[in-house]
Amino acid sequence: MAAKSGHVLLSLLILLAFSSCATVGRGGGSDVLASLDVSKYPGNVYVGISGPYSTKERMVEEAILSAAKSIHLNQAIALDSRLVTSYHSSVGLTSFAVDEAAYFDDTAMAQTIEALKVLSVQFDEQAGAVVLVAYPEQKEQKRIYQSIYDDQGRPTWLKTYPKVEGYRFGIGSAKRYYFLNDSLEAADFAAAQNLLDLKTDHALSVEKVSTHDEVMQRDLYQAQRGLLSGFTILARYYDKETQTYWSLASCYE
Amino acid sequence: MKTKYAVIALVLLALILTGCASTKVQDAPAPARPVIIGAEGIPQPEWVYKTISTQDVHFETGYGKMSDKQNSIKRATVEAKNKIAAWVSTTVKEVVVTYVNDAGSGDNRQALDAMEVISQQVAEATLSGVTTEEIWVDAEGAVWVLCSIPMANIEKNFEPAADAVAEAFVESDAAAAANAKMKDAFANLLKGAM
Repeated sequence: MAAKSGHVLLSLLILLAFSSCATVGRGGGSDVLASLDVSKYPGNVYVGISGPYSTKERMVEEAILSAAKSIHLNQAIALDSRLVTSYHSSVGLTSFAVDEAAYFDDTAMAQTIEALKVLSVQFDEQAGAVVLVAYPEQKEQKRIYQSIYDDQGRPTWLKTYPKVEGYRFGIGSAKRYYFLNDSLEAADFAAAQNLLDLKTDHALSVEKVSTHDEVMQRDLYQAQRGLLSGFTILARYYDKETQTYWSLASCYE
Repeated sequence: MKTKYAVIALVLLALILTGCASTKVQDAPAPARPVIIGAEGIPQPEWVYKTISTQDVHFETGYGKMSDKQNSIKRATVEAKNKIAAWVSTTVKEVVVTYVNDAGSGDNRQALDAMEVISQQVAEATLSGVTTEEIWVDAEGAVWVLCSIPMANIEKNFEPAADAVAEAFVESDAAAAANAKMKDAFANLLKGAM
């Protein structure tokens, strides 16, 4: 409890220190993403966004919490996925239901927030507070990948997964939610699940095939789980045409 | 002397001619396979239509065509993992059946029941370390994946089951003790009779 109030006080102090230099952006989805791009910073720099809240204090607090969460996700993220599909020979695929979850350890969140060094605070209509922080307890390493764009200005990672020795990549997408932070979180989550789909620590697969009145039914249940370390969102992209947010994530091999 | 030169010339000629002779039998040209280009401009990889097999890694392919690429990848990987699970299941059953036959316990109902339970457990055991090696998107937007699992991981999953199977066919300590007591009882009985 003491740690929680301490982090609120810290947030307020940061807000007071930076509110004078805050800028308010009015741009669209892709412009906001530019302010979230940390690719030119070392690997121990994180960005956090809050989404709109009624007060600036609350926005900064939530954005710092969001950045700290990214640090904890980088340390370890446990993923769980369960899928059920049904197929009938007469009608084809009748169901494809997925239940996915992700877990991380937040017990040391207060200590992480205390260790953060705030680099900048900005305010945006969609993103709320955008806070850039450095985590000095992590090494200042160069980013492993920089986006390359094609003729249409789309990142090449939308088509082909990048290849870097010692790392794995995952791509996730999400349709636009009402709040930007929800859209980004959904795309990040999908990218994490994609990493799990592409390399599974443990998977259980049970298939039942039956025939009734010359109609074949195939039911498949599959559960998988994995523990990722070094999980990082490397790049994002917003497709205006389809109103879809895309995230490129990586983790250690 | 002239004859000598003529013989040498003939030998040289013969050597030259035999040197030019070709014994190579030309292979029949393989039928040309049309190059199929996928949605992302990448030609269809060989593993889409040809089974890949190595001694240390087992490969399976998966196919998925859903509303978007993400879900297509998910479905394709699910199908590939299911194929791997089915393959493991079949392999496990074969191994267990062979063991039972080798153990000469084919008629032992209890042993057969144990085998069935164990093989079922192993067949449904988790797969460890399934990796998607490659992804290819065809012209219709359907996704093909090539997944792999190291044989070592499957063998590791076999271990507890193999121990359990072996245990099912080995006499227990209690049975051994009962057996020994029975032999002793027979021996004492025989002594008394003598």
